[in-house]
Amino acid sequence: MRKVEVVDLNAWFGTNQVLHGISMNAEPGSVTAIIGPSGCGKSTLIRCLNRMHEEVRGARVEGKVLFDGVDIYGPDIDPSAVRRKIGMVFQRPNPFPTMSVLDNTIAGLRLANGRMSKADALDRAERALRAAGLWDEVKDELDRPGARLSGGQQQRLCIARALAVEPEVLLLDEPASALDPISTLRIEELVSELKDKYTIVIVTHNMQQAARVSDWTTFMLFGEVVELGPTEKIFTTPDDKRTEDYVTGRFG
Amino acid sequence: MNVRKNFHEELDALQRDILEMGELAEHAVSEAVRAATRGDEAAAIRVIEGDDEIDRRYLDIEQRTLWTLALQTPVAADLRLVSAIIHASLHLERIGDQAVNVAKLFLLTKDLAPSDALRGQIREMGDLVVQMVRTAMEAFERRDLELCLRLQKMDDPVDRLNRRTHLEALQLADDPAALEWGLHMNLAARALERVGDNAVDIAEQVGFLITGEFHEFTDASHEVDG
Repeated sequence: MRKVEVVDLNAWFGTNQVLHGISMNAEPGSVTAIIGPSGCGKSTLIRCLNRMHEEVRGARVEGKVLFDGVDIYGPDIDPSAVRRKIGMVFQRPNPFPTMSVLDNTIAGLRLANGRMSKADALDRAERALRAAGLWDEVKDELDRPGARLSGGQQQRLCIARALAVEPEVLLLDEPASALDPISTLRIEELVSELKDKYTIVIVTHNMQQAARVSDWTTFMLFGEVVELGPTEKIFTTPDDKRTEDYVTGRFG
Repeated sequence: MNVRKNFHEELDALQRDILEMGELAEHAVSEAVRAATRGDEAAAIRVIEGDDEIDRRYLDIEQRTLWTLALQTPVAADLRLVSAIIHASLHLERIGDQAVNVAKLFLLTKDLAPSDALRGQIREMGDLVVQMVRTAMEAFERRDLELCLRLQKMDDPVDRLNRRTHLEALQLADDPAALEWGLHMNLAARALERVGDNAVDIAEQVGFLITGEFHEFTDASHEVDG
């Protein structure tokens, strides 16, 4: 079964429609990249996948986003429960600046589960930090403020924070665009490792990053999906001329 | 609007260069066949000396395509073009080498008595494979799939003629000098047959460039009549 299936999704900011009849999906154990020029709606789309879009005043959504076959926009669905299952990491690393590495890692978990024992907190934090490939670098300074880490480490801390609540889907909104090249490659490597366990959707304006990390690529233009297919196909023999023009840079 | 102008200008330049290299290779084969069939020693020497220029262009194109891959990470049709250029340049370099083989085989046997029948076959094969190289490169330039597909059919008579050359050579068995000439021309025919195969390989690459799908035109087990 498809983990995430988007069916005829439309989204607005006030009266401005920014997504038009989007249908796409994300398969378990794979990375789906969403590419397209600035303003094409890729960040809006990814925010619709865990009901973040509606947090903006005046924003609304129509259509379906099925998670394990259940519409997350259904009447009895709690958006917080959706976000626990479908975690998100943003463009700029945003650890809580005064919180320690440990507290940052389990911040979402505490919010969801309430108090927990120190041993339990440590155990859950270690698992999340290991999964995010950060444990070896921070294990001796878990009490250090999260904001003191390097940019790349901060972003992996945010990934650890998202993983700590044990989501099934991970949404990454340009997760490496504020990072240096080596930190970027580490994030990409991490994405490849995490995909065995999670369904990953990544928005990126770096086409080579999409080519490197994803199994499926969705190309968007003016709020519509132009083409969706295996990444190798999109980057070698795309079907649509607009995709061809975009990936080869013949499109300003 | 093209946001990768420099990169696309380099791709255009590479394509111009591969087409020029195609003309050089085609000319080399034509000259070599002229040498072998008309006894033109000067033409044979020109072919051998001219091969350095084909090799130089091959190395230049190889270097620039590698740089393009490393520095520009081409994708989609651009990637297929770079891939087709890399393959085509190698095939053209080989075609140049086969022309040299034919020229050298002629020089080794220039004082021996030729057979008109065999010489006629070599000339016919030469005309066919020169036309094949020209057609493959035209298909490249015009992105013409129909021309590409024509190459496979064009190769059939070349293969047939190649199979017949050793029989013609054996007809010369009574005269050791003529036989020696004939055996050398049998090798020349084999070299021309390889030129035809290289032209087909280039057409396959052009087919991939146009369609994004790679198909081998010639099956190794393909039976040719005659």
